[in-house]
Amino acid sequence: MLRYLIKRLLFMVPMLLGITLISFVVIHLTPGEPGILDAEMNPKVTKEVRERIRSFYGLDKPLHMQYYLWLKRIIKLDFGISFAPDRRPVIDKITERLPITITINIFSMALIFIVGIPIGIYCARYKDTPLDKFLTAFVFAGYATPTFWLALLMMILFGVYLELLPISGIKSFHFHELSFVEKIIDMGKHLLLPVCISAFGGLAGISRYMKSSLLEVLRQEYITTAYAKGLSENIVLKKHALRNALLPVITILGLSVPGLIGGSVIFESIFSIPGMGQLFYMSVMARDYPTIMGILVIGAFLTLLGNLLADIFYAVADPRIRIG
Amino acid sequence: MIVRIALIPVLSFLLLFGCSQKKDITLYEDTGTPSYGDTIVTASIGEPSNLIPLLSTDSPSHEVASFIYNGLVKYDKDLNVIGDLAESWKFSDDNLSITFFLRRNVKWHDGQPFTARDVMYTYKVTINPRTPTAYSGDFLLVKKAEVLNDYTFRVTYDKPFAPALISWSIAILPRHLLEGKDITTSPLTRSPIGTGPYKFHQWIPGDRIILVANENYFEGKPYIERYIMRIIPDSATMFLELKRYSIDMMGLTPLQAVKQTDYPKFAREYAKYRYLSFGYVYMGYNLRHTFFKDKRVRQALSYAINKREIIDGILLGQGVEATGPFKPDMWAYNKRVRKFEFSKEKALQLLEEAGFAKGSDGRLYKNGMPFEFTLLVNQGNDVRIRCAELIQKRLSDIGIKVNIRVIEWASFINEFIDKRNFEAVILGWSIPNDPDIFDIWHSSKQGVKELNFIGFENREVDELLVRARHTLKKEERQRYYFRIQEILAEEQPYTFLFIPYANIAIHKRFKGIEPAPAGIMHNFIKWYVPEGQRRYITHAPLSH
Repeated sequence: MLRYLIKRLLFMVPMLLGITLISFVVIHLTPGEPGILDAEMNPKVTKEVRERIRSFYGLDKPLHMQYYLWLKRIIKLDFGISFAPDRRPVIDKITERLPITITINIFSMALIFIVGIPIGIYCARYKDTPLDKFLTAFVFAGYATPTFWLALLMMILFGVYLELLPISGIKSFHFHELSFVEKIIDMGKHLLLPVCISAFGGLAGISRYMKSSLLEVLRQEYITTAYAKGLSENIVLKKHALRNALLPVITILGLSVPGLIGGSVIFESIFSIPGMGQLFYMSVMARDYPTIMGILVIGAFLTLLGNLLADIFYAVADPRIRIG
Repeated sequence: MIVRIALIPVLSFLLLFGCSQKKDITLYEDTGTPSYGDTIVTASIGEPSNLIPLLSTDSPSHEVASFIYNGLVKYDKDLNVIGDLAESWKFSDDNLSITFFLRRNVKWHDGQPFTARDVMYTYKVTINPRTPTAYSGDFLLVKKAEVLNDYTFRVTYDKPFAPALISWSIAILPRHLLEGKDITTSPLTRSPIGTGPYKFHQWIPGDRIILVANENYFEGKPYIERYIMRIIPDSATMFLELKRYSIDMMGLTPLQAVKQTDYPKFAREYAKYRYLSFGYVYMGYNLRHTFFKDKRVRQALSYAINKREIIDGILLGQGVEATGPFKPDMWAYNKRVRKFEFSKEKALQLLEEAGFAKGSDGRLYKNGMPFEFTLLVNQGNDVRIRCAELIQKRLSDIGIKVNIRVIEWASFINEFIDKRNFEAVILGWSIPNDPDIFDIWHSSKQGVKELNFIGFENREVDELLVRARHTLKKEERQRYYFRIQEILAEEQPYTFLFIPYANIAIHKRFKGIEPAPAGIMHNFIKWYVPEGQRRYITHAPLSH
């Protein structure tokens, strides 16, 4: 087991290097350069000024030198200074936006599991009933509906017509004047729509997964045995079937760890949520290489870590995997 | 059971409507008297990047900075240059140097006095090669800058330079906080200190920026107590926030201005203002192209394009036809230039003169080559993309095939414009307040990354441009620019399409707004909300 673990950990290093190398090359090959993109076609920006800005960012050095310098910094966990005009440390920009993205993702994931799993169980148990068909249609509608469209409709309904919920942002105008409880309510009101809408899109996956894995289990012989013992359907389902059926679902939970720090650009833009998606999008648009690389490295690391964790859990559960 | 189920919709109905707030219907018609207080909430698609304007090129940064800093001079509402931090100025007899006499008793927001040494610092940091700024161009022409005393500052140029005076509208930075430090990492980039009408209060990243009125402002304290810029990255969301009355001021698209805000409830709450924006849209030809080399071909295309249709159909009437690189309410604008009214016949006649003939398939040919070209448009600009479609239709009517290609901005510039790898493009220029258009039209400006990318070469224009920028007499400059516009209208290196109107909705409780050629923000510090119409309480002291 220990050897397996060390092997897997060592294998992560070249993987991570490969990911950074490819991302580094790809983003540097995209047309456009940081700092001057806003100033394209601006009569006041002369050629000399451009050269000056290029050398300021070290863009006049050859690409492999730039990568080497970047790598040297990242090994010391120094993410560098952003190329955006604000010139802030990349790590500040990321940590300032992480909490809100993680909060929304945790809430919406919780909602997905709380709603999705019962739907899946119901659909498996009462397969082919009208309600099963309706729920299936419902979760697929959620999957198929474009988020931005649904979000806008909900904003018009709850924000403009009913004036019940705020339209966008995460804090009210007078947030600093509120008491602690009011602050929580205020944030809750702001987050209600984003969380619900992002969860709506994710219901299909988890409920379908739950349904099919439960159906699979229900076909097993030990379930027949359990029925044969004279157990009630409730107990068979809860005690024998569900536990086994939940295992793959829990694996999904593990695999969605890296997803926690990712945000959707469209979604965050519509609700004006200053999260990771927007940061990444804006960095790409401004060709802010250090920030892009910072986010990619963290994302890649978490993905690899998530994979590793999932593999370890598998290995713990299933001895056959340990050999490989 | 049935009763219980039936109750749910009723209850939720009550729940939904029971909580909805009642809005007080206030009449905003009463203009009242100016009083101090209230807050204006605006919104921006992008977040400002850096509040030292020298280091940023994005418009949200400059918008916020314009409340915080002053230049030595500024434009008044009719676009005349007037003093800002400089009380007055004097040109030397040879027109080579300008002496600025600065206001006394101006204080930085931290209480330090403002002096000529701040101006000197700003100049020095701007031309410092280590400062990553886009604005050093005009200042590299300065031969000598001197501080004569605390309140007198003089700059000398090699040649008289017409845009020199207005280049000093650049935001003056506080020397006492910046000198000897690396400006790019200064805390002032996130919490600026200036001399302007508003003081920086708070920046919640990704969310909003809050400014408060500067009670010691040298032109008097602004009436509106607080200015908040919310960052709302999606324009549809921003419009919903406007409809919910949670933002007070927003620029509207033509569709929003004409159709989507045309209902009584909106009209009760918001006033709409309109002025000509500082920019025009054109179709530019690559003048190295075999067909476009010929002036008659370009003129023919200008005749064949129906500008009126573009303005009415795409801008919903919110624009005027452009005839040259200036807008009609500028002093440099020449209205007596050749105009190209939509006419298929004239277009065809000119093309015939240029050697084109209709082939059997109804298309135009010259020496066996069909008249076909690719029109480039940048992605994300719907107005321009739709313009391209109308142009495509009109030109196909006279037998010219136009292929439209929509390209992402960075590759549009780097791969096509910079490499001169295009036949025709639709682009826009902003119209500067000062009419110096040397960089766009002078034949020497054809290098990589330079702006005369279409390759326009006209000796008379070259000479006039140089003369116009090196004289300070307005009448003389006007004469030169009038002639330049005549030549451009005759040559049609671009088909000048239109100048759009800027439409702005502002909440009706704000009074004292005066639309002018300079826009509406010129007298912002005089805007006020009468006491009875205030919306936000701002008397509570703000905690720092």
